Amino acid sequence: MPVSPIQAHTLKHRSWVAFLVIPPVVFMSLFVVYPILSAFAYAFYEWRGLARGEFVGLANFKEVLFGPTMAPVVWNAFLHNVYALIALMIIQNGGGFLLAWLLYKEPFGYRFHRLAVFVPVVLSTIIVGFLWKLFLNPNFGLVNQALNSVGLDALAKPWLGDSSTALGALILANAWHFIGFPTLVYLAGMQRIPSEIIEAARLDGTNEWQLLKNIVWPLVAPSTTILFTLLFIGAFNWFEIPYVMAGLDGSPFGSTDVLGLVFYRTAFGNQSASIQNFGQGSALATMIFLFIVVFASALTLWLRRREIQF
Amino acid sequence: MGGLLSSMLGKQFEEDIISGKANFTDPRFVNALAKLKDVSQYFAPNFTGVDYPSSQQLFVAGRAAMFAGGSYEVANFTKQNPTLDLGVFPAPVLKAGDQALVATYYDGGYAVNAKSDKKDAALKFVRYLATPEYGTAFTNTLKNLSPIQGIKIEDPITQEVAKLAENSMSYLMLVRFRYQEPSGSVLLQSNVQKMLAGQQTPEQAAAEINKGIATYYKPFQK
Repeated sequence: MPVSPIQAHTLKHRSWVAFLVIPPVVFMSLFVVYPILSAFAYAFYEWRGLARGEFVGLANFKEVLFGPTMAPVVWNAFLHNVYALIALMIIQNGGGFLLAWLLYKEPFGYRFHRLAVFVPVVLSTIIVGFLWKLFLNPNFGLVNQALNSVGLDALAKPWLGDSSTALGALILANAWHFIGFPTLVYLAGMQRIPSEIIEAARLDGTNEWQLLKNIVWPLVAPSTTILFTLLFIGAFNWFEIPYVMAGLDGSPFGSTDVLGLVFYRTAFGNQSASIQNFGQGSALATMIFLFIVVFASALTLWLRRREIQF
Repeated sequence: MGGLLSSMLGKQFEEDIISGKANFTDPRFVNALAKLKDVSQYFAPNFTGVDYPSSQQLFVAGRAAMFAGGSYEVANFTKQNPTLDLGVFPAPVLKAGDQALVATYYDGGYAVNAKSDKKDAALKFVRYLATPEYGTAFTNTLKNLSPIQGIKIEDPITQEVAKLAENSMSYLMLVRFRYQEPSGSVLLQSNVQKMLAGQQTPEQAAAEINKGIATYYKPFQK
């Protein structure tokens, strides 16, 4: 049967599309989808080191969520993730919003400050964690020396060794590291607002607070959507800063333990506990992943709805 | 704990733990923890915020008079500060006349993979690792003890360490309770930290450690 010119064209078009689509799909399947699915599968088996044992169904999940050894550790860590999320939402994203507003108004030297606020974001987390560990050293760290030099010795503390301040210290270090990112995203969002809107509001005599609350905040909603979602994902995957500054056990006595550390200890063991349990580790990782997917999607949908088109 | 409390626990305590005659709520263990809490007033200022590398640095720099550690530190310390004049002593005893002990553990072994295609060469190498020649090089380079008998130790501190090792008990949590969950070391570390921070008493710390280990240690379940 002869091929009509239209059919020939469609065929050519289709092979062209296939040529473009198949390589990335294969690549993604091999290096993204397959590892995720296999980690998911690992969670249903018992492990003896690297050797896969019997299929145990949901036993690993049950142990992680309700087992007398794992459950208290996991829930303690989960609460710290929630705590970090809330605190970073206020300090990192809220602070970023206010900094963006200051930069938006182009005060003296704003070009320098715009750059300066973003510099820490570029640094490696290992360096930032190490730097803050030095700052917070109880005996020769910058923070306590500064307090001592202005006569506030009473406030000087072993910040990372005191269970009431350790997690807060990690959160502040994280906020110092990343505040430049929300600042820049919010600044871009603010610069997208048509200037007539802000001028009109000013002419109508709104004060600064009303302007921020009723005009700027709703109009940077797309920035908020992306920043809140990324922070949510980041807060529940939090690992580097706690690992560098507090160690694998979340010292002191679990005060800085987060899910990422629990996962690492469970799956790969640590110096004080030579057990490696890939099954329970994979079960925990799977649950963290599902939790993030479900809640981050819900959060995104909810945040999307409050965005305004202009 | 091994470094500071071994003499107060005593060899008999280890035997009783193994046989199940005693557990970690035993007065010997609770009292040793209480002593640790007691001497913590002489630790470096703000010690709860001093991590292990910082504590090593304090000692190497001469800003701490004593360091509770193991013989494996000697080479590291003297290399970092060759002028450091240090000596070693066993864990302090409760009362004069008690046996002074150090805690020891077997650390690091060598094995050959049965499926190695260079098995003969590997075995030859491993056999060399068991010779007095290697033991002497090991001990005198790393300033630590070798299990090989009849080695001539040159370093005076290592000689001292060898003498101390004649009266020893196990480094208990590592030797006996490291390989099940929750590990003895994890329990000991977190509960001693809590105790030193004033958030629990030695009795409570001992009870928590015992509770964790009893979940898998058969002699405690009787």
